[in-house]
Amino acid sequence: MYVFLVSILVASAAVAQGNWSLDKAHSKLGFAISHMTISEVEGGFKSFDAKISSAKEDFSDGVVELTAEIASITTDNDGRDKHLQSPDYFDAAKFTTLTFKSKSFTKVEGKKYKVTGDLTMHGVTKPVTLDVVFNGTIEHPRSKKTIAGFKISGTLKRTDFGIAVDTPAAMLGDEITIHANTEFVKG
Amino acid sequence: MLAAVLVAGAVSAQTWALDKNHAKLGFEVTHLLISDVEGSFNSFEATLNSSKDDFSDAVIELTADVNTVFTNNEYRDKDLKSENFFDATKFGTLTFKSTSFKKIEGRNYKLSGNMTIHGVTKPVELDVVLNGPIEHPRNKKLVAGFKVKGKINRKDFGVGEKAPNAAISEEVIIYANAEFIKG
Repeated sequence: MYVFLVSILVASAAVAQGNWSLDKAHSKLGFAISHMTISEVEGGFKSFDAKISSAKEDFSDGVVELTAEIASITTDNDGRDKHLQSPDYFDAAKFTTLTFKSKSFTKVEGKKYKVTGDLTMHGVTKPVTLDVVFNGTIEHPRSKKTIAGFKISGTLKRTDFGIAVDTPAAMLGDEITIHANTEFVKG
Repeated sequence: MLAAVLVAGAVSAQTWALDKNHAKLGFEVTHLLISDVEGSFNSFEATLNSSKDDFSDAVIELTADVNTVFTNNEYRDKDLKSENFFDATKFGTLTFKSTSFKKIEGRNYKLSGNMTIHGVTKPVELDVVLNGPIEHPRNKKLVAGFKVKGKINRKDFGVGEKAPNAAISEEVIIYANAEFIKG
């Protein structure tokens, strides 16, 4: 009987607790930065992973955790990518990852949400607030698993994280636009 | 003397070259109605010719190498190059040639032209934000920044006829960021 009760408790806890993993083939973590005030240069991290834990369908108690490999940074220019990994920018030898851990996920209206959390890069942790468009969940036509789509955008200042503090904003914007498109698969 | 004037006239039609280090030609489709997948063409060329400072007579020509399509997924990139989508063996390039560049207001412009993808040519209209030009602090050349955005329907170009909208949206968002250098 005791064993039976325990197994019910374990089963219900497991059902209520939804774990969502990142579909890496349909996800992107990108950024854009202004160059000489007139154009934008885009980049991304080719290698990153994220997971969501949520007991509720609407993700209102969702916790998102993300880790990106700094060495996987790409701006479609090998020389620049190497430079970005150097101590002039991310100092990837010392600070190999960028991480984000959410603290709250709140609905604004309709499909719009706000996610707040701590972002760590270049060894500096700062609270950030990002805008999220949550496009809902659907059943994947082939795998029959539930998938959810999130579009995330926001801005932060690179100098807040001690990145290239001596590079003037007229050359390389201080503000960095973050944009991520992600698909998460339940279970 | 007359020849010199004519030559001078020809010089006034300025050519602006693409700064490939500060340029991107990207696109975005919706996957399964809920998420967006982004991609780009890693190799493309573009030129801009204009005799006026406000670019009102600008002619923009662009050629992208379809074989350089990139979505950060080798398997998918290969599929995109296959007959299922771009058929890159047959149609190796994507081209655009503008027919007009009109100011709407402030820094906002409309760029019209003919786009050729997958062997099909269609007129398209794109939104442009023109920033600058400014003088490059180091090489002292004039640099102009163009941010281009628009939408096309991939099926208008016969791309991915068998892929339903619910799997991969028919609507494709095009966006480009490009710096052009004068002279």
